[in-house]
Amino acid sequence: MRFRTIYFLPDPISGARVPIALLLEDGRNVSAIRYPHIPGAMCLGGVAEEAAVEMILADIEQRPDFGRLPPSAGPQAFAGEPREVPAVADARRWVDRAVFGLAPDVTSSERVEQHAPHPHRATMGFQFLEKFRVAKFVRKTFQPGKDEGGFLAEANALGTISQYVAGRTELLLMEPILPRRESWKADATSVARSFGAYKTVLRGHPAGRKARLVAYVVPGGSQERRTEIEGLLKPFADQIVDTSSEAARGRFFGHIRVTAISGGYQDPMIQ
Amino acid sequence: MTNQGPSGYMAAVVLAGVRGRGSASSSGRRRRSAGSGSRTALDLFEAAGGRIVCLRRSDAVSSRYQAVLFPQQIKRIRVVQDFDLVRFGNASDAIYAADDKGRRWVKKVLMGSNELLAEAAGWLFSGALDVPTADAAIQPKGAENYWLSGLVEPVTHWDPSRVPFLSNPEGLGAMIALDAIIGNWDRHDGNILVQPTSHGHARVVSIDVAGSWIGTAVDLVSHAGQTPDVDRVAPGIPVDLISESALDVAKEATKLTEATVRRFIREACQLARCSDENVIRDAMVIRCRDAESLVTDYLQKLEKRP
Repeated sequence: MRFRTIYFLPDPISGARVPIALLLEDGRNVSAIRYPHIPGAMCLGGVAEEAAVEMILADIEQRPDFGRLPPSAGPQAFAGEPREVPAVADARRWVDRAVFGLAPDVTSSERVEQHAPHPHRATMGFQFLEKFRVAKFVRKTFQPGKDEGGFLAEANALGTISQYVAGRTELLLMEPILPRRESWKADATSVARSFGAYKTVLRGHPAGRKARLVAYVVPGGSQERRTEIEGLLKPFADQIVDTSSEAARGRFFGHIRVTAISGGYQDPMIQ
Repeated sequence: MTNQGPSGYMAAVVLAGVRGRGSASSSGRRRRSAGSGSRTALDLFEAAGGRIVCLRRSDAVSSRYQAVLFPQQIKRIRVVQDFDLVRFGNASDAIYAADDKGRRWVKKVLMGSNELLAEAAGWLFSGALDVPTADAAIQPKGAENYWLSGLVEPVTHWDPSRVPFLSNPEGLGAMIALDAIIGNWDRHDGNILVQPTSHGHARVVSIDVAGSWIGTAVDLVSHAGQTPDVDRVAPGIPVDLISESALDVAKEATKLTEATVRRFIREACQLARCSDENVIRDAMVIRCRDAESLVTDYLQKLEKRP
């Protein structure tokens, strides 16, 4: 068993370095573990540096490779020399105590969850739609019983849906999934739970306007992760869109446009 | 006399007081030589009907004005302190450096004259076509000229997962258009810098066009009317997101005057001590004229990639 520390160089000229993660090789398995005490923006040089660290960490978690860092991590990340882990029953716990210096009753994963910044999933999803210029067709936060003339009032207790597109005969209820987020699994599970509940209500909904539950997975994350997300959502979503495929996102964005226009959307630029 | 803006704009700074003092009557004033910057600006001021105009490098201005308004553009920096090697894969030919004004650079130390020519010409075209690119300069040292690329901090490299974060996708389109026009076949993921600006936002910056055909007359001539292969282009370029901006940039390239292209190639050839200036210039004039078809072809190649 071996480990090596991953450093971020906040200032390449001075050579200052900050440990941000650790790669742990246990047999054939390599895992990336975030340092529990990553300095914040003030210490790293600014919000941009903090965002860079977050991006690099996501890259490393996406493709943990003991031999080399993912090229996307760039020149401000580098891996220290490999070091041996003594023959212990639980290497992760040993790392927590010996390398991170944590107390016996604290684990690094607990610490990381307390400190890592989590950009809001719905916000990130909406930004993605903005990039492709379809956000103008999409409305934020569907509140059942309040939006669209009180549509789906019986789902009032189920909570909101991040985004929706109002068509004449169809309502797209959409949730973004960001596989690069550390909480991707919890996100997918939460969306699956919400969609599952909505599906039950929709089954008993009187005929008329149809609601369609759509999860769109934005680019990023490993293929395994994306596949797992699809597996989690499949039983509950009417449609799962893998937006890393240009063809799939083209169809999806086309559907959004057509739906919005059928619902009376008018481009303010051509009015 | 002139002031270079951040994105390829040059503002003609006119002596505002001149007209006010009543000494710039267009009818009575004697024309003066183009060699004097302030007088030429005054000429332009009058030609523009007394309005202060903002010119892009690509704007059609007579070559007389071009030479004065847009002089040698690549800075020469003599005092540079070298620091550590840039730690990244095959980047062992680059080191961090800082000049006497405290500006930070990445200095490329192993470069042939063709690569230097390509870097210099590519950078000049980048400015004219609004390609987001790092600042650039030359460090003359003995018989050598070292290429200095402005240090972009903080920085990561391209990955398809960056798409949701891009705040300047049009910059990526401009980059791809530039590659088609100057024949840059080496737009791998390390040559698209991704600079995070805040959580969830990042901008792309172009670097390293040293391998482009524009650096070698033979390459340019033998690839006339062609665009580079896309085998080495970074994966996951969102063609649907960037096509429009790439084609806009192509349209801009068709508007570059012959005088502008000549000036770019002359400056780059002088730096690289290359004697093929005329061949490269003629080939580039044609490529700029055909920019729309070149960029369309290149986008199609990218789109067809598996």
